[in-house]
Amino acid sequence: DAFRTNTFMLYNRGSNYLYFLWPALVFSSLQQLLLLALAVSFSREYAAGTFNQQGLLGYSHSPWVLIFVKWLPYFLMSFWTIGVYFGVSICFRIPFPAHPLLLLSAQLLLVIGACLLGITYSIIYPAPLKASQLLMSIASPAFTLSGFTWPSGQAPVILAALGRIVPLTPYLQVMRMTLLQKATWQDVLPQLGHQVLLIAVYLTLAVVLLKSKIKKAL
Amino acid sequence: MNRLLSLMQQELRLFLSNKVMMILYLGGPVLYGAMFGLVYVKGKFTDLPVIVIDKDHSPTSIKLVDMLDETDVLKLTRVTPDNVDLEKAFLAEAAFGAVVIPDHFEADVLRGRRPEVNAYINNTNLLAAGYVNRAIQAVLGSKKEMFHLTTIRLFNRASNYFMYIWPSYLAIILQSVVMVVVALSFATMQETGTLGKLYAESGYSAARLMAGKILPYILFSFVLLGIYGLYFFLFRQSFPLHTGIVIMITLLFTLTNSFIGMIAGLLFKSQLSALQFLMILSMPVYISSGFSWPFDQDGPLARLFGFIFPYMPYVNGFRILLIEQGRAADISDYIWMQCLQLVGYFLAAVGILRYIKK
Repeated sequence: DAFRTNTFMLYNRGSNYLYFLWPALVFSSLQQLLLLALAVSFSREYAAGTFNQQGLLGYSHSPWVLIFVKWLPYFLMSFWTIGVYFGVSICFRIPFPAHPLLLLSAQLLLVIGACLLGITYSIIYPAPLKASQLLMSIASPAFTLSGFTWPSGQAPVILAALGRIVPLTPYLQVMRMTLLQKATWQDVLPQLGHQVLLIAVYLTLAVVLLKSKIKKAL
Repeated sequence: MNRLLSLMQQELRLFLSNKVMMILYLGGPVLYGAMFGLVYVKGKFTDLPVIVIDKDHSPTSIKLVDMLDETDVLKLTRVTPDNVDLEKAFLAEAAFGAVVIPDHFEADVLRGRRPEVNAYINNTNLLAAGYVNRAIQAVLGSKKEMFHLTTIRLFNRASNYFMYIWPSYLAIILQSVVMVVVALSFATMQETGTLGKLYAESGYSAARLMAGKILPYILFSFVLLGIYGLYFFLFRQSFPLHTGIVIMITLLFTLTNSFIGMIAGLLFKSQLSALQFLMILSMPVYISSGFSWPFDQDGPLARLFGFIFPYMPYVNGFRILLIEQGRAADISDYIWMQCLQLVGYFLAAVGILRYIKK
């Protein structure tokens, strides 16, 4: 033999499938729940006929305030989900992140992003049923498109781009890096930036669209 | 500030008034977090069934067999000196691999002739195949100076991920479409109050009403199947050998799903709640189906969950028909399970319909 080859497995050394997949599944279902819940946030008001001066708009005309109000309860409740995640992950002995605060910030950014995406949908589609159905078409393939199992560089460009506009995608990248690779803030800066960018885009869209809806309603 | 508070109060009241959403939102993470965890709780595979054909049956070959038996990942379900038709054995015994030790193995090893040992990997489930391959390599690869090890993959030979994952996606789409469409149709009738009228029109027969409501969607699902067939052609996938049996299990699958959709449409009186319920319900079916993580490696609770849904027997049976070119007899267990579910959901749907109409 001319030489010897040594193979070293880094990070998930035991090839443990639970560590690989479980955390991602929990947050992909969280995103799905949030999208589903917020897809009806404004459309329910349109459908119930309360999107007017007598109803919702009697409280405030500012799109910022209305979006904030719709968003806040779910944001607060998501602490429950995140708490459950950490609790269960201790039970299943999932590796604890080297920088828990970093993971937590990425989780909160995911929650904000998913809420705003749901809100944007519900502003666009006045019928709650239609908004839910259309969101289903985004939420269901989100995990596959995120590149978590099948790297997005291996998918056609259009599908990779589609994955990039879903809040789950950058979050899963941060999560894998913090849980298994002990990433620091500097390592995941691009991914956090991606999360913030998505939030900014969805928020702008939501505010602009809601403003025009409010004008029409008044 | 007061305004903001009262707005929030109102929002919270709206959330609490939608019981389905509330239970799902607060209970979902607990239930699904635990369930997904229970599927993968072992983290690694253990006792994956493997067959050994030891034609030599000498002290050296027996030692090799013992070494294979000692790894946690593998479980030797059969050790035999006789030739075995491996493709059939993989189907019948659901084995993930086979190791063949040739005649005169010991004699050749002692003379330094480096005999050839063949490892056959059942590549239908790429995830399990990877583990079996690694475990066999780890054991037999350590004795490289004694013999050659040749690895041969059966079924999905090129480890094509598309071929592996695609059938499961087709089934998921079919399931969602059928369930949701039927649920929405029943919920609409409840919303508009036309269910009672239709029940009277059908002569107060639950079965006739169901047949009238569901048959169009079943016919429609055949159109979907035709489109899938076209996709097979476009993506250059080989067709299943026994098409008749594929159509039969698909029919069982769509019928059962339409009954589940009907139950949801009857229990939740609005289209929106029915849709929300079905979406959340169907989230974990893929994970608990045993398509990637074999069913018998699950925790018992996760196994129960998989057993309830029509997706599990359908997708596993379909894969055997498609990739292993199996026959009806090879998937008879799955077909029985499908029939059982069909009857169960049918009775539940009829019962609920009768109850509501009272």
